[in-house]
This record gives sequence, structure tokens and C-alpha cells, in this order.
Amino acid sequence: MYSRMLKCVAALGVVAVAAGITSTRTRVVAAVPDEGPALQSVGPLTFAPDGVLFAADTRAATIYALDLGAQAGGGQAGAADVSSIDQKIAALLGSDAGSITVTDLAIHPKTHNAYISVMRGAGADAKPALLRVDGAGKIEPIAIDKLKYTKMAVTNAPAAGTEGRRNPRQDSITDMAFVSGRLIVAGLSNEEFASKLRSFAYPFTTADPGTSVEIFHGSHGQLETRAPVYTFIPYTIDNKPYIIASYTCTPLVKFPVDGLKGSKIVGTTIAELGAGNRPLDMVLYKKDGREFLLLSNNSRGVMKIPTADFGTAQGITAPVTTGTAGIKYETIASMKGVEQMDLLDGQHSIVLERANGALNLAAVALP
Amino acid sequence: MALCAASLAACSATSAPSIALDSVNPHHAVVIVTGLSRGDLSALDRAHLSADEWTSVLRVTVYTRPGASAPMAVAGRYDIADGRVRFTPMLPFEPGRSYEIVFDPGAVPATRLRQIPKASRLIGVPLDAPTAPARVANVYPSGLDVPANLLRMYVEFIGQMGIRTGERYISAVDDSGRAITGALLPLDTDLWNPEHTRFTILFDPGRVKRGIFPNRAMGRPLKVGDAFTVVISRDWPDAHGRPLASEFRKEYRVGPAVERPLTTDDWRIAPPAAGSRDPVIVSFRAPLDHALLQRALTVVRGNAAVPGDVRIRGGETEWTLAPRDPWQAGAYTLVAAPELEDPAGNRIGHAFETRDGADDTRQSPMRLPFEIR
Repeated sequence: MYSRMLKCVAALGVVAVAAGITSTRTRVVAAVPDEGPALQSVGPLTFAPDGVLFAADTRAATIYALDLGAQAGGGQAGAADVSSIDQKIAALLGSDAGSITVTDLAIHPKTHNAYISVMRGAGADAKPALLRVDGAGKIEPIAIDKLKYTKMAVTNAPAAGTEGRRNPRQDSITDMAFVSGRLIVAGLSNEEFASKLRSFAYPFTTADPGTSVEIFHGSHGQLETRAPVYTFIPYTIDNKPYIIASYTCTPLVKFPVDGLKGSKIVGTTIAELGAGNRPLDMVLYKKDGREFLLLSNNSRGVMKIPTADFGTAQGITAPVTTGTAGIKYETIASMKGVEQMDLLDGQHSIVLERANGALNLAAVALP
Repeated sequence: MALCAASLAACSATSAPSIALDSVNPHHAVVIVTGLSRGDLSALDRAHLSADEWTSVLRVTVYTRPGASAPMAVAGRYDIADGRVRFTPMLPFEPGRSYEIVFDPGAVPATRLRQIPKASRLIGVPLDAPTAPARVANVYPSGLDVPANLLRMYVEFIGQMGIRTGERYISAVDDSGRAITGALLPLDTDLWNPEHTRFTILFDPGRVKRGIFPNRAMGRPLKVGDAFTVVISRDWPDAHGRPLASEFRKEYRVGPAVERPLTTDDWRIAPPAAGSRDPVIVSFRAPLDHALLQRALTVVRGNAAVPGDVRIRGGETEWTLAPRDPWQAGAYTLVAAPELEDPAGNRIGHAFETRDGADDTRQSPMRLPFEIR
């Protein structure tokens, strides 16, 4: 009788069930149904409205569409505050807080649980991990290897004219969003300096290598810049899908998603947000009948930007000499040390904020 | 009976639990508890413990110091098989780290389990075999002089590096040793090559490019005539999490900005003799981008690329290709891909600094014919 395996998974809940569940939307590329995705790394996350989780494996230049299956269930709805979450995640992963790197935070569109991507270790054998925090503050590791999935490589084609002899260039992935049935991916090349977005139809098909787009913003006294988009968010103007993007040198630029079908788009710079800064995350929300964009930055805090003029704003074309320009913003002084941010619900953002050396998961009332 | 043969303890009447690390799979060791009687194993089996209860019964935590308690137990999978209790951590135990393991069936309020003796053990996971730590081989541009509008540098390592980006480990200091602040783009992005032996440093383009707001407000970070030093901290962890062999410093002099498009007009191609495997040597008037040179230039004969060994020399002013097979007499073409840049981001026919907003970087490759005789 002892030969019977007692399948019990500590803190993993229901993974054995998860292996048998397949989304009707997800086309499984992997030919081995008993083996889940073998991520080399995990970086940016984003959800599709139906709960499919896109996770970027930047090291493998691959994006996985993960069907969380039963592992999405079982927890209390929402995401409760967790202090020193870095220490708790590290302990769960058999490590210490100094040896893990939190790479992204995303809220499940239905359960409103928080999903956190983490790398454990700093070496070649660093391991990816994905964790869920529910409304009771319970942290549960997701058994990634038990998930159904599809995947898409985002490696560029070999350079033109080289007849495929050279290794293709590899881009880092800085942000992703699901817009009108397509996954939009912002990348940063480790060789060229160019603004690149890729657009993939979803469900992924092996025949679709994605559309690579160069985006220029016509500003700065007719100067274009090839600076890469760092973070972006879908936005609708007059029932047409747009993307509001923030660049590494912090202009805020809008461009139409329809334009992604071509190979080059000229965006409109609607705000200059300041120098020496890197944008991190954006969320959109409504308060008191008005809509705002909340933008977190690595050195300029969290900015609250009214969106009322996004549709009509004229592009900034004159050189900006002092301060900022375009649509005005308000710096939210109470939000400090924000490293990751997403929208929790209609009244709250959720942030990973560093305070006194510890990383805390906290719901913050939208300003 | 087969079970008794596998584990004599399982057949004895009383349990004497013993904790060990089973490293049969050295990449994913598991914790095992042996010495349990058949009756006690049966009781554990029949208890149908929940995940949380199993964590109480066999609690594995990271050990830091005496008396300190870990905030959470290590996550993993529990099972009973072959007469023993087994814990498989979700991620492999970390080499060099110690784990505290407590087996305490009485932690779950089931009468039969309370009778099972407790056990605990501190287990250290051995470190991997030592190898030499990684070190910086060079920083590119490899020459002494750089333009005031320098956009990109590379740090090349001997040995594989880890996943940490350079944000915390790379700095630029002026000739009086003061840090040049706001010069580099504050990126925590993975700007490694696939092998993790080369990291890209980007200067803030908003400060490099004239007319953009940060440039207007603060000017370019590098001033003509200045000297500066790039400092790579020894603290940057390599692939094994160890610091570099040593700090690395490289000095530069800042020359005038290069705001012209690249032109192939001043390139010189030195063709080797037919029948030889000597390299073709392509010389440039000024340094080009170290990384892009390695993939943006190709020699073709007809439509076929000539395979061979590419070298970058002369402070990125020379590109050579030694062919795998001897050169044949006849027409060859050097093909330069449009993404080729110099260290200031200038491309062929397209300066980084431009006032032509309609400029299109998606040009055709440049084709430069030459003859092998």
C-alpha cells in the first residue's frame, strides 16, 4: 500500500489538476503534453482579458502565453498587502532577499490576484519563478512546468544582405500589452539604437514572425529620435485603438495601433516629462468622472497625468528649453520607491515599493 | 514485502526518523526522511495531509543564523514512496546555502501521528567546483579617443557573467575622480549578448542629441577636451555569483562630436591574392561600432556569403575576413547592412543628429564591389 504516491503539493495547491486543462483559445505549440514550458528567465508580464498570462523569457527571446488553468483559482479574490514580500518570496524559493530580483507585477483580470515574476540567483543557473498573491495575502508559487502554453520567438531576422550567415540580433523585452487581439512587444536592442515594437497576432501561429515597427516621434524642432519605447499602454481615442508610449528620454508619445501594420510610424509627442529619468509602468483609471494616466518613474516619482487632452493635444514640435512641456502632470508625493505598478481595481493601484530596504506589496488608493 | 526489502526500518515496530539529502540528481537534490516504521508511514499516508499540514510535518527553511526563523518554508512537493517521506523543492537547493529541516508529525493534531518521534537536521548544500571568476577583457570603443556625442559602449568579459545588469556597477568619473552623473541611461534592462559575455552601455540619448529637452537643459554629458574614466566595479556578480577578479578602469579623451552620416567613400578594401586564404582587409577612417561590425559586414560572391573568420582590429577601424576556402579570381562584393553604426549612432547616409524628420533608416544594404586577382 505504501507504493501509492501521495501527491501533495505544499503551497502549490492544485497543479496536478492544472495539467489536464487546456484553454479553448490556446493553441499548444509544444508537442509534449506532459511537459510544461521550460523558461530560461522571466521578465515582463501582461494578461489578456480572458486570463491568459503572457510572460517574456528575455534570455530566450521568447514570449510564452501561459494558461494558468486551475492554478488561477482557489485563492481569495484580490491582492492583500504583504510587507517585506521580497524576504517571503526568497524564503519560499529557498534563498534570501538579496539573491532574488523581482521583474514584474501584473493583476489577473478576473480574480484580481497579483502575479509577480522573479529571478532567483544572479548567475548562469538563475531560475525563473512566478508567484501569486491572493486577497488573503497568501503567496503561492505557480508550478510553471505544469502549465499549458504556447510560445513565440521574438528574435530578429538576420541583418539584411547577410544571407543569414550571421547570428540574428537579440532584443531585450521591456514591456508588453494585449491590444485588439494582438500582443504588442517593446524591445531594446543591445546593439542598435532604434525604436522597435513588434506586433504578434494571438493565438500565436508559427507562420507569424510578428511585425517589426520603427516609431519616430516628430518633435524637438523636426528632430526625430530613434530612442526606444520603454513602457506603453493601450488607449482609445474616438473609438480607435492607440498606444501611449513613454521613451527612455521620457517624452510621452501617442500613435495609432492601425499604424503598426506598416513598418514605420510617426508618433505625436504630447508631453515632455523631464530628464535623467526612466519610465517604469503606466496605469489608466477614472476618478470623479475624469480619466488619468498614472506613470511611475525610476527617479521622478509617480506622475498623475489627465488624459482629457490626449486626443486633441498638438504635437510638441518646438524645442523645449526649460522644465517640462505639453500636457501637465502632478507628482504624487505620497507614492515613493515604486518599482512595479499595476491597476488593482477601480479605486486602487497595486505597487511593489521599496521602503527601508524592504520591498512591500501594497494597494494604494488612486490619487 | 518488496517494501520491506527496500527499507528494513519500514518493517520494524518503532520509528527512528533520520533526515538526509538525496543527491542522486545532483541538479535537483531532495530531502528524505527514512527510519519510519510501517505503521507510522501508514498513519501518515492515511492522514491525507493538506499542503499546509505537510509543511508543518516536514518543514524545510533557509538557515541564516542560530535562533533566526525564516518567514516562510521552502515551497516544494511532498510524497511517500519506497518507505520514506520525500520533499522535492520547487527550485533546486542553492549551492553554498544551509537549510534547516524539522520533521515533526505531532505538529498536526492527529492522535496516531503524535506518536511518531521528531527529528531535525541542518544540511549544507556543497558549492560547485571553483573556477576562476570572470574579468573584464576590454571596454569598447577600444581606442583612447571618443566623440562628445558618444552613444554606446560595450563591456566585454572573459568568463560568463550573471543576470545582473550594469546599472549599479558601471560609472564614469571625470579627471578629478568625480562621478559624471546623468550621463548613462539608467536601465535595468537585460542588455547582454546571448552568451552573457558582453554588456551594452547606453549614454542618455536625450542628452546626446541636440535639441531634445534633456540636452537643452543639461547639455551633453561629455565635453570636448575633457578626459574621463569608465569604472567597472569588482562587485558585479559573474555567472557563479562571485565578484569580478578585479575592478577595471579605462581612460578616454573626448574629441569633437561626429554628426555626419557614415560614408563608404573613404573605406579602403585591400583584396588578397586569388588562391590564398589571406584576409580581405577593409579599413575605415574612424572607428565603427564594435558589435555591429561583427554582423553588419559580409563578403558575397554572386549571392553566396563567403564563410570565414571575422576579426575587428585597429581600434575598430579595420574589419578582416579570412575565408574558410581559398579566394577564387573574380568579382566579390562587400555588403554593408544599413544598421551599421559608429559609436555615436551615425549610419550610412543617416546621421544620428539630423533635422530631417522624414529620414528613413530602412535603406538597402550598401554594395561595394572588389576584384580578386
